Amino acid sequence: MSTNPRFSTVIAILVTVVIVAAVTAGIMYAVLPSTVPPTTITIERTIGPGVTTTVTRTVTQTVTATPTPVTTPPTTKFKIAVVSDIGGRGDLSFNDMGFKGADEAARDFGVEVLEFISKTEADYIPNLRTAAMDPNVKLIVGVGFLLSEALVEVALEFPNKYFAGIDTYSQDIVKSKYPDKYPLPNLLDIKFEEHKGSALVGALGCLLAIYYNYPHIGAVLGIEIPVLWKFEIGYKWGCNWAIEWFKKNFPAEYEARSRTPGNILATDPKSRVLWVYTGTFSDITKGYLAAKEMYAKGAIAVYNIAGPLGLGINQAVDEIVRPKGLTIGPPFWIGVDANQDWINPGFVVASMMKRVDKGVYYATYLVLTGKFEDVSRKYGGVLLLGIGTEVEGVPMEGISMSTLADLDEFIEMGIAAEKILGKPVLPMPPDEIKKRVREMRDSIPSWIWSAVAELERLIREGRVQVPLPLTEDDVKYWRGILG
Amino acid sequence: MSLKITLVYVLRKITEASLALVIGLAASAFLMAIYGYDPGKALYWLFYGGFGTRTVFLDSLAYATPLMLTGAAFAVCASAGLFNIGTEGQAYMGAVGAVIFGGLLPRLAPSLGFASMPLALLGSATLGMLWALGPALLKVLRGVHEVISSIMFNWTAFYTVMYLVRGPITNPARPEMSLPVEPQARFPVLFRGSILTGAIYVAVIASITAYLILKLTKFGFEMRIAGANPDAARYGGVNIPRTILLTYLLSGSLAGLGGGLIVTGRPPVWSIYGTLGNITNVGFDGIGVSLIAMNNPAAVVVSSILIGGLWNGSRFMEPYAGVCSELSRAVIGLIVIALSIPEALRFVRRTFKRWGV
Repeated sequence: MSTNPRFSTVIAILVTVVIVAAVTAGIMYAVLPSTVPPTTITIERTIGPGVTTTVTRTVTQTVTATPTPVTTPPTTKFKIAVVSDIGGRGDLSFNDMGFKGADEAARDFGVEVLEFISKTEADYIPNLRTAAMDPNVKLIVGVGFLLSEALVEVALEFPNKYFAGIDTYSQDIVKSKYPDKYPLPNLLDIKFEEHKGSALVGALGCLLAIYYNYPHIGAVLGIEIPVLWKFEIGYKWGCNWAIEWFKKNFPAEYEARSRTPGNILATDPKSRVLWVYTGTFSDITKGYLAAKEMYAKGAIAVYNIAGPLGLGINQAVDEIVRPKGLTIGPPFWIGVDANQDWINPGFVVASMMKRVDKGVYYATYLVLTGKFEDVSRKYGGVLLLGIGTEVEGVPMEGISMSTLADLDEFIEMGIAAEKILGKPVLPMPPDEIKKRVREMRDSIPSWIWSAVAELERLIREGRVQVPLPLTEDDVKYWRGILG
Repeated sequence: MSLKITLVYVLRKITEASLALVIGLAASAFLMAIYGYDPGKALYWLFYGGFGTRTVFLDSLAYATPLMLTGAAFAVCASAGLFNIGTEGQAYMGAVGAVIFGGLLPRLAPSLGFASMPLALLGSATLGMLWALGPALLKVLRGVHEVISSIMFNWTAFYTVMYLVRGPITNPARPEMSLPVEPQARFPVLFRGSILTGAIYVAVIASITAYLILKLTKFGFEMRIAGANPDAARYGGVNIPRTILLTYLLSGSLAGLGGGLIVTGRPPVWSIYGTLGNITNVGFDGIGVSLIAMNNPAAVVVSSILIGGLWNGSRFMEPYAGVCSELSRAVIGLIVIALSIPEALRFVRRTFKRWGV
């Protein structure tokens, strides 16, 4: 076929070399920041009741904790493995928070962390299994509900290893597929009381609307799946609570503002909260359009209950505030899952934080203290983290409204993501972010913050119950009351 | 061909491939060294993770299964001088075919449940074939180059499938994924502790069949001659448009089957994720697989195991050698490119020659 085989071979080799070199150079140029030389630190810490651990760990960042040198090296090589979903590192959300929790467990308990990044969804089972086959790995954490099925299969196969899933429904699968094995004692689904956190931000939103004379608050939701009902109803309930609170504490003001047109107190109780299920967790444009409509109708704050769609909400806010030259809202939006206050400082009034990192941390703690199986048996294989949660006498909180103090660690996460993604993530220098957020928080009267703090205390003490809708009938019932 | 000539030919090909492999490994080692990783350790875990133990090798075979078919699909077209970059979209449609015929249909008509598996396989091959029909007709009737139309068809398939998975064929209990195929349509796991299922038999048989069609049948001969020299083929009475059309349909059905086998032959979900994360890239990876196998559908069986093994092994690079996952992708990419280049060059040169450049 070819007239001169030797010539073609030479050409082939040459071109191979050139292309490979070009691709190498291209990748070198495009990806990865320079690596920071690792430093080894040794810390001793006390965590929880009477658990003292010794830590030797290699870190690539500066650690703020004061190191206390110890002489004894760790005796056992205890490892935990974190298996990501396809988002991988740098998503500023679930995966990053999962790894953050693992890093904190490594710091405090002296465990070693293995990271398994799933490149495709076909990697879930092999990654979980590879992790479980490592003799030193005791705990395997799967981040994200997409790993639910895979966790069940591998947990059944390795009864001597512990498995935890963030937001997974693995035990439900065990219940329906292997009823005689339910609950699987070496498996914990780590879930969160999102309804309680949503009530806090709902109350905050409503109080802002009362104070600034806005008629509505809003919520942009993703696909209508049961877990989002918790956000929706909790948010509406929180708004309702805030109005009752205001009525009780400021009766005269309440009367006056109820007659002020355009104040949320004058709005029909069932349409105070504008809400829409966009049917997507990825189409940012839909989030933008939904939020734009809500702000046009007079929503003071829109709650992001659709992950990445928050960026669309942010865009809608930007379009309103930039022409006016505002540096502080209203209007605001409300972040979700992580502390998103830094995304647009001054305009994200607060975030409903779901501490995935704490979930990983507590799971490690349960394994280390030998309580994992007992907890799994006792609570039907589900570790529910919320406000004021106590598990076996140990406080395990997983839900909170963001504070100024939380901001630092999430800015750190943003800086880490910048290194991984090789592009800017933070909108401005960290100090500037903190200054703007502080200014925004100071511009809001303190009675609003203390009202929200009061609600948090009531929830923590169990003196109020935030409704928890689990079925379609529950949701219909609550929509009937709250709109 | 006498034995001696065959031997020399084979030896030359093996030398060529080994050389390419060495260049690929050297380039990737260089790349990892630049970023301060230990290339020896990383490559050790890459190959250990892909081929080091029985368990990982079985998993590698599972990773290879869909690549075998998309590789064979590309090889069939390449033999006829066609560049089927559309295997990606055809695989998507094949996966949907498996869900519709192996999941939705038996659900609506439970009496068909016993036939779920053949229905799923036939459905995926048919949908893949129908998706290949578009670019094939455009080429035959309008002379639209298959690369252009196929890339468009890939994106159309991507969004169509995404719509279907999130809408009409979504799983009401799990809105994040499609309906699963019926239990009867699921290939059994062959060895406990591995994800390898009986789907690999279908993949091997289909690839070998494609090879036999190419080498032993009149249609196969017409394909090859049309690829080698269209003018001679036309002069010899070969109906070129018909050959192109049939080649494309054969290729599409193989790629569709490959997509379908991901759904029916891969635990644990037996469905398509709403992100399409479990079916993306099999078509594109098939191109590398085919080029490494010098576009021979039978040799694709071997090269797909190599590439499947690399993908499987790359999972070990992050936890055990600390190589970040983006870089491990780049490493595999480099190795695949280096291995594919000799055949890719020949393919390009032949194409230019045919165009008289």
